[in-house]
Amino acid sequence: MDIKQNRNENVETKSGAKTFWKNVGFIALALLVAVITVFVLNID
Amino acid sequence: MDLAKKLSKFYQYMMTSEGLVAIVVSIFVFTVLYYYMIKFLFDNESGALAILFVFVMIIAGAIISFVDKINSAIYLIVPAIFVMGILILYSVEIKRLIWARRNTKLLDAKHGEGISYDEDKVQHCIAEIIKALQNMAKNDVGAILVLTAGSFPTQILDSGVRLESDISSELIESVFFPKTPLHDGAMIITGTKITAAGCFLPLSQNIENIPKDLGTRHRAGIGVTETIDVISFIVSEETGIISIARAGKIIRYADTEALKKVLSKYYWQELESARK
Repeated sequence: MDIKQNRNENVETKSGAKTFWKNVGFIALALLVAVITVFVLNID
Repeated sequence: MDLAKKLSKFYQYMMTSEGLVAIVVSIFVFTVLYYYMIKFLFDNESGALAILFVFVMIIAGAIISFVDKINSAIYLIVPAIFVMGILILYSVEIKRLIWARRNTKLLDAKHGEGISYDEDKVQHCIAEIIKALQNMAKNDVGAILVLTAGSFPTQILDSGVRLESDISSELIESVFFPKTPLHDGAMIITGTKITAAGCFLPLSQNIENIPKDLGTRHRAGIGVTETIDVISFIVSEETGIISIARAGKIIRYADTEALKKVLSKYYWQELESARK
């Protein structure tokens, strides 16, 4: 039984290293905003 | 109180043991919250909104720090507004996260917990599904099969007819045979059972990324994967092409190997690569 076949489109993939550095960036941004938040809430 | 005095007071508070613990715990909690918020925005192609959020928080923090008469508690209104905006703008994506399938194995004979399936029965189900898809593709019979791991919205199941039957290619092909009462909806398969047929699925809300030549059947197959963690197999009535949809993305021209791979992963069983 033949399947009508041409090609498979690739699903998007990410490398592990790229994902790691992306997460590091997110944590850095989150930490920056968190420090500012805690500072502002405690300066009164 | 000028900024220098405020900084000095904050430093003195931080030097106390209670103050240090409170500050560290607060930073940790806020970091976790902001991390998931920023990650969610970047994952949903809204990185600019995340950067805007960071800038607004920095500027608002600077304004509140320099101006004496503003209560610092007002600062929390800024992230609250962003969170409300995210809940409104990304309700579909949030729904998908909530309904995401837990990482539990359907075949878990070693641990003996949860649902366990007979290995022969699983292989039979995989073979029957592939056979049905191939036959329908050859005869240009349109079909949507949705594979779900467990929880599935009851309103979608109730829109069709409950079958609770074993999987067979003959039954699948009979359901989707043109002009039969149930051929126009989707078939929902849970494990080794056909749960329902003739079900109506939500259409995809993604207008930009779906090829224009895909019709309503494909949009329904893609749409259900946008809100629920399921896999859809779609057979085109016009071309006989088999497509696989998951998480709002579609792979067209799926051959036998691709179907076996996806079904094997669904049933958590590795089939031998060479079988003809």
